[in-house]
Amino acid sequence: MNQIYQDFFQLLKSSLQNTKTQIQLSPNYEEILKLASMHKVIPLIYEASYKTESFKQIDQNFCKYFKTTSMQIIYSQIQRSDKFLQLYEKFNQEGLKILVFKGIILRELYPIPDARISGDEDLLIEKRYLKQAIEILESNNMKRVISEEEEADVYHYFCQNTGLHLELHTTLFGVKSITNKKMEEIFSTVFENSDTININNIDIHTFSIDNHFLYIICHAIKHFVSCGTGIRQICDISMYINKYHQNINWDYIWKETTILDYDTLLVNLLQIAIDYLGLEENKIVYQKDKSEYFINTEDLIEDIMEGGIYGASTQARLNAANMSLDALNKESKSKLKSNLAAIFPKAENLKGRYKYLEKYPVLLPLAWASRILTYTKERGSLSSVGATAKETIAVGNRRMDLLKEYKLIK
Amino acid sequence: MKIKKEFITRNIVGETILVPVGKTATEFNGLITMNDVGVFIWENLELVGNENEMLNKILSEYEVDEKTAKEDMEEFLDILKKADII
Repeated sequence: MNQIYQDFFQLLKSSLQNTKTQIQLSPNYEEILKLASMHKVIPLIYEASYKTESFKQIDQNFCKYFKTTSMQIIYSQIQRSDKFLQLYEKFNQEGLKILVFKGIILRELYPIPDARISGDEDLLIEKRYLKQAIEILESNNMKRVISEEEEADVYHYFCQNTGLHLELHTTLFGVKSITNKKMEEIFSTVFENSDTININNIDIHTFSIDNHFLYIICHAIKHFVSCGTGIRQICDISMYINKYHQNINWDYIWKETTILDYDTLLVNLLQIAIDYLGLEENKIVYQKDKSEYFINTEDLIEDIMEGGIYGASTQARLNAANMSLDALNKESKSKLKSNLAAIFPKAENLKGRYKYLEKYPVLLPLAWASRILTYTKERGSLSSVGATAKETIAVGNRRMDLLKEYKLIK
Repeated sequence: MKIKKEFITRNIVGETILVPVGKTATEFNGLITMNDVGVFIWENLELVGNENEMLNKILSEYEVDEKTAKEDMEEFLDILKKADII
């Protein structure tokens, strides 16, 4: 592993543990900041950096920039968290039981909660409460954004004053793929099993400890099979175990992850948390002897670190997602077919970017053409688009090999 | 003394800051950082009736001469008044 990654992990670990790093570090802070930005962990890295001796010796303008950036990010998060809690209190007052997952629940696991930022807050709602919830949101300065679709799986709401982005889900995974269907089944009883936790004097309904733990694992792996998972998702898993290890029903976790063929990858993700993020191994209960698993975190770390948050660091990685998703759904037997899937994805995989495909899937060739045109604009010429396509296929093939290595595809 | 707006205090990046929330978030754009004495003053603002009471509280909490304490306190209160926070 390269020195930058090693220093980055050292800083991240001391931030998660809220301790001053014990090792004398003299990292390349500019590279560390770039990585932190890619993984959306700038405030976490800053919290550990400014406590090191070496930080006091670097360019003061850079220090100031790093500090101001961290401060602004946390400042905005505090405002978003506060707005979210105000809204949630209103839901409670109206007797709506809406489940909160990820977001604020995960932030609370960290020494400085708002240093672990969230792009949005996720809520799971039963359809019968949807109308009432929307009324509350709209009367509290929240505007619907992204899609105006009437029957949606997720309703996006945005607050212009604070930047709070809410995702109101009526379903967790949907039924668009075999894996999603399997996951929907696993999480079909989240409302019956829900728990309540208190944050800043407000009762928050959320998944049970086991459901939530399994969910964040599945969510990380869902992103891994698509474009990639960033280090923050591994931090969340690590911090979750740290807090709830005595309450986690490990038999249940291993049973469900094994059904989904996620167990090998999970063991490797946990190994990264143990080796680099300070997770104590005795907090994990394995279902069988660890030596029976394939463990090789080197390739995984490379992929995680290079990919950034949700593996979205490059356009090639985003495009390559179509190859791995295609392979995962076991529709492609050959690499050639998967390669084509990366360049000419199915309508299903392009609906997010080309909304008209929701109503008119027949316009798929138009979406392919727009996509190529966009890349031409981004890359400057058609030959560069060819280079992107080549890069996409290379990334896609490498990632498909990874999926095989961690037994997600056979 | 009375705090007119909605703020929360947080310790971040080695500083204690005041973050405007609720309606105040839309009205106030600045960033107020506080040292230890600033935090002490902020926490006691609504517990004292006037500036003299605050000064006495500071003097009983910190080993500082009256002149320095008064100057520091006035400087901080001035910032809060100008921003229409108290």
